[in-house]
Order: sequence, then C-alpha cells, then structure tokens
Amino acid sequence: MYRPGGVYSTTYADEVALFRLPLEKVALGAGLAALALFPLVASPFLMTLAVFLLVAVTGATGEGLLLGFTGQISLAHGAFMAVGAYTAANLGTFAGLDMMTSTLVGGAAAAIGGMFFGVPALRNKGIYLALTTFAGQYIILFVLYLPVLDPWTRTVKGYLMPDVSVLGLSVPYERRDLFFYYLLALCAAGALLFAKNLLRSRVGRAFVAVRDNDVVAEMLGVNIFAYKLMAFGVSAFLAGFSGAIFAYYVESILPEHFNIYVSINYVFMVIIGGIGRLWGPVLGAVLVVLIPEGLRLLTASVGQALPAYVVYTEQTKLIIFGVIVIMLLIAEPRGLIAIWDRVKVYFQAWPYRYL
Amino acid sequence: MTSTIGRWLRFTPSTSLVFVAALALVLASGGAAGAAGKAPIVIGACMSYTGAFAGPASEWADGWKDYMKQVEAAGGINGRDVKLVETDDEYKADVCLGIYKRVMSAYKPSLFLLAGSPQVAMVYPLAQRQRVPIMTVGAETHSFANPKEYPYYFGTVLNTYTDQARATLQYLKQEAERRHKPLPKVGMLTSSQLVWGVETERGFRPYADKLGFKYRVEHIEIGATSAFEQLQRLKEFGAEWVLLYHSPAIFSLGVKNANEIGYKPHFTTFQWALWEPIIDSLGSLSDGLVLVNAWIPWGTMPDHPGMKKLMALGKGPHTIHYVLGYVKAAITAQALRLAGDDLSAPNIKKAFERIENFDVDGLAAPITITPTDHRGNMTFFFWEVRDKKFHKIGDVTLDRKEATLEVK
Repeated sequence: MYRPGGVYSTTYADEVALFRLPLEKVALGAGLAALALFPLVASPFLMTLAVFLLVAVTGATGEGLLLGFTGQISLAHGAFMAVGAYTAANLGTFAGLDMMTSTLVGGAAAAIGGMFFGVPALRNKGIYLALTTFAGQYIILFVLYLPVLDPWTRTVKGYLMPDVSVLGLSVPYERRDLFFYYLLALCAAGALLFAKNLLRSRVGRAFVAVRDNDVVAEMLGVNIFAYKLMAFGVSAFLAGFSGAIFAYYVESILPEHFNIYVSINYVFMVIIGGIGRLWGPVLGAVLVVLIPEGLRLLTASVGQALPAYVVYTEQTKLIIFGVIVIMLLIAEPRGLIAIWDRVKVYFQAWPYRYL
Repeated sequence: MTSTIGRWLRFTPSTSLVFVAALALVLASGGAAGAAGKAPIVIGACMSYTGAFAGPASEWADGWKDYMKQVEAAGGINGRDVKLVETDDEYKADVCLGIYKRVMSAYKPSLFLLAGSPQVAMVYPLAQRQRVPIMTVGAETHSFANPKEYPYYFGTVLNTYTDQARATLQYLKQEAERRHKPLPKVGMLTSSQLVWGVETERGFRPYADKLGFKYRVEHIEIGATSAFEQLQRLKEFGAEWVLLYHSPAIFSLGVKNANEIGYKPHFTTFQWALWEPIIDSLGSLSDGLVLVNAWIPWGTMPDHPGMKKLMALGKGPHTIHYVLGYVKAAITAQALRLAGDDLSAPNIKKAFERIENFDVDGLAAPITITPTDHRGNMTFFFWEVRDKKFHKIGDVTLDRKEATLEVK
C-alpha cells in the first residue's frame, strides 16, 4: 500500500481510515465541491460530455478491477453494457420498474453474464482469455440481433427507453442533464469507493494474488476460480449498470452502440491510465473521452476556416490522437497515473530535486 | 530515460500543467462557441468524414456545399447566406449526440444533417422533442418516411430502400411483359439485423407476392467473409436476378463469390453498395451490375442539361453520392425558401411538406412532399454498368397507393 514517508498511525481507526492524509481529505473535498458546482457553469454540451465521462469512469473502474488488479483481460465490456441496457429497457417497459431498480437489476444481469464468460478464465490466460471474451462480445450482440427476440430488443429502429422516473417521481425532461450528471457523479464516486474498499479487503488481496502468480496463490489456499469469477462479476456489474444508465440518458439504443470498439476503448482506458492503480482507469477515461472531443472541436474550427480542406483536417485528428497516445506511452509506459505520481513527487520535493 | 527521445518526451510538471490548461481552453471555447447571428440560416451537421462511412459522406458533403455555394453566389435564400456548422462524428452515434447538443445550444440551427442509421437512432428522438427538422446523408429507411412516426425526418425525400426494391420488381415485370417472357425468379440477399435490411425485406415480400414473383430471401451480416452458402442456395433455387442490398464490402463479396461458384445472376442493388470505387475494384466483374436509384449518376448522360450544369462547376470527377448531396441540398434550399423569414422548426417542416413538383435541373424526377408522406419521389432509374460506366436501361414510376408507406 502506498504511503508517503513520515506518515504513521497512532490509533487503529487512523490505520484503517480510507483517507489518511490531510491533503487527501482537502483534495477530496475540493473535488467533490467542483463536481457539485460544475453544472452551474456548464453548457448543455459540456453536461453531455460530463455524463459520458462519468459513464466511462464507472465502467472503466470495473475493467480496472478485472484487468489491473486481477490480471484478467476482458474484451466483452461493451457487450456487458448492452446486457445491462437491454435488461433495464425491458424491465422499465414491460414490468414498469423505475429507472434505479431496472438499472441495478440490469447490472446484476450483466454480472451473471460476466461470470458465465469468466468460466473460461479458469483454463485460459492472457491472449487466449482475451479471445474468449472477444467471442463473448460477438455472441452477445448476435443474440441481441436474433429476429425472434425483436419484441424485446427492437434492433430494427432502436429501442426507445421508457421515461426516467425514480421512486415513482418522473424526472422533467429539461432537468435530465442535471439529474443524470449528479446520479452518475454519485455512481462513479460510489464505484471508486467500493473498489478502494474491496482492494483493502481479503477479496482484494486475493485478486492481487491471482494477478501476481495464480499458481502460487492456489498453493497458498486462494480459490482462484472463485475469485476470478467474482472479479468478472463485479466488473460486469459496473459495466451493465453504467450501460443501463447510458441507455436511459441517450433515450434510444441499438446493439451497435455497444460494439467491439467500446470494449477495446475500456481496455485502452485502463492501460493508458495505468494498470493496477485505482485512479488509473479514471485518468484513462478522461483522456479517451476528452482528448478526442477537444481535437474534434479544434479540427471543426480549422475546417470552418478552411472549408476546402475540411476532409483532411478532420482526418488529422485521428493521427494527432494516435501520436499523443504513443508519446504518452513512450514517456511513461506505466500510464498517466505514473505521470501524476511524478508531478506529486516534484511538488513534495520542491525546492529540492529529490525527496 | 537517457535517450534523446526520452529526454524530449519527459513530462515535467510544467509540461503537464500546460497540457491540461490547453485542453481546458479548447473545451471551454467549444462549450461557449460563437453564437449565430440572425442573418445567416444556420444548418448544423454531423458529417462522417472519418470512419466507416467516410467515402460516401465526404462526396455527399461536397455536393451539398457546391449547391449551397451557387445559392450564395445568386444572393442567398431569401437574402440570407447559409452557414453550415459541421463536425466529424467519425460515424459514431454517441459522438454525434454530443455534437448535436453542442451545436444546438451554441448556434440554434434551423435544420440538422445526420449521416446514417445509428446516428438517427440515437439523435432523432431528441431532435423530435426539440422539433428540429432532420436531413440525412443516408438512412433512407422506409418507415422514416412516415410522418406519423417521424414527423421531422426528411432524409427520404428522394428514395427509400423498400421502394427501390419494389421498383426493381416492377421493372422486371415490365421487361418480362415487353419481351413476352415469364417472370424471372428473384433472390434477395440482405441483412436480417440492420434496419435497412429488415424493412426492405418486409416491403419486398408482399410486393413480390402481389406481382406474382417466385422469390427466395437469404441473409448475410456485416463482417461476413463468405457468401458462398447463401449464393449456392439462390443458385439452386434458380434466381436469375439477385437484389443484393447491403454494404459495399458485402456486395463486392457477393459478386466475387458468385463468380467463383459459376453463378451468374443479374445483380442489382442500391447506391450505398454500388458506386464508382466499387466498380473500379470489381473490374470486369462489374459488367452487367445494375444500380437502381432516383437520380442521374455523375458523368452519365453528359449532354443532359442538369448534368452539363453540374459538370461545368469545374470540379470532378465525382461519384453518385456527390449528385445525391447536390440534389438533397437543392430540395432543402427550396424548403428554406418556402419557409420565408420564419425559420422556426415547425415552419420549416411545413415548408418541406409544401414542396410540389420541384425540379432539380432534371437530375431527378420532380419532387413532391406531403404532410402524410415524406417520400418526395416515386420514380426510379436503372443503370447497367458496362466498361465501368453507368448506362440507363430503364425507369419505373411506382404508384403511391400500391407502394404503401406502411410495411409490417
């Protein structure tokens, strides 16, 4: 467990506290305040961006637990989001459940699906497990497209989600952005808190043991199959839950909104953010969501100024994004979180060069 | 790191802070991007300049812009310029939703352009709530033309895929009667998952039954690497004509696979599957392929006054999607003219529905849109590919009452 030099505990409560340093508590408070006040200054576009970012953070936290802390790679995250989304859609439409209930049940359904596709994890590792989950991604989407399931998937024109309601109270349409923003901020914070606690527990230590050396872990009495399944379940639950909320937000979904590129994006968020760190996927989500959007705005502005070259200016943003990622990984292969560590160390050591 | 690259790429805290500040500036500028003046007519657009739809969408955009340039050179629409606020959505629906929200809040456009079906599925519900008229590059699915379900959707002003399939059947019947031959057996190869495949099949079947055709429908999905099975079954069925309504990749695959198994039907399709780059890639296999669409392909009939005018713009060569963009721009401009000074969304919708016998320099049949039917055109042309060029072999005008708007 990371702990800066000179930090020690004098009580047991202090020892087990989630946030031990005063600066951590101040930063947490400032961060929560910024999250709370953001809607006051944000345009509808920035609110949409923030909602998409928070969906990504919630989902990426799950992928981070699975890939970063348990060492199991899953390329089916998009499909688990789809399972959560369509389960919630049908529960809301046919069973009349409100949004919160249906999204939680959607998450649970995705968790079951995740554990089902986690069974091969007992036999497969690394690239072979990736291929197995890759197959899972396509299988789930193929099932969604089956014509016989069309009354429950409505894949032809898109599934129009039911109205958003919580505990019987309908959310006014003009307040949707605000509602989803605060809901997702709570969910993302909750997911991170849950993950932080989980990693401090016996379960979390078992995850890390499975990641570091599953053979030795098994010899030491860790039931690696159970913990691998648990990791898949938790990861898929967060994916399904975030997928369900995403579906309610965008109002209409198609299976192709949860395609393989979504799954690859989530793995990418964990890797670029930093594997094996709680905040790594968060930073990865920020990069994957915000940088392309920033580049889109930049190239759109350039395209407005040079309309004859708009096709070329738009294509350059893909190149620029690729170059940024390559440069980041060359500069710091351990991910964005390691860059953040270096920033922290710099300020901790300042005005000296080294601690 | 001791290498030169490592030293150059080392992220110092100051570098990190500069990077974050730059990102924040870019996003802040985007969030508060300049408000539209009242003078120009603002049209928002999610253009797919990159991604799966890049080729056709880029051509379509060129056609649209070239038409609008002519309009501006002639004094604008009711004295106003047309300003296009476009952003590339990489053919991603969630990106398109973000662009839509940003552009709507910053520019309040009178109309919005979307690329294809995934974008329509995600953005149209919001556009309908906000009563924003939508024009599209593609997504010419039949049910989108029904104002009862999609009152603000005008992407089907030239054609729907279902009507193109029906027109093909009508054409085959006319040809059989003209040559005093029995009706040919017909096959259809399309998607069972995607909206344009499912609805096209739903419209095709009852119409084929009504006209007395014997037919067989096979399915193939995006990403398939072989169409041998489906084509073998169609071959055994004896289909002389195959309506292969799919992506360009699957269309090419189907034509090549059919050739490999010695199956030589007449392949016919719509504009998204067969266009100039596909003809080039198929080479000699492209001879005999039949395109059914609602407008004259670029460069075809060069003596036609409308095509002459188009080619005289001085740019090219272009493709059929360029002409499609040009024609849809013309129809949209006509609606904006009819809307007058009231550029509110409901008025623009009504203006579209007042378009009657609008002629786009003869590049398509005259367009008529009504409040009960957003299909502006029921005349379809048939073009056979010979020596990598389109040659007109026929045309069909469907009866609106027979070619119904509802498909089940």
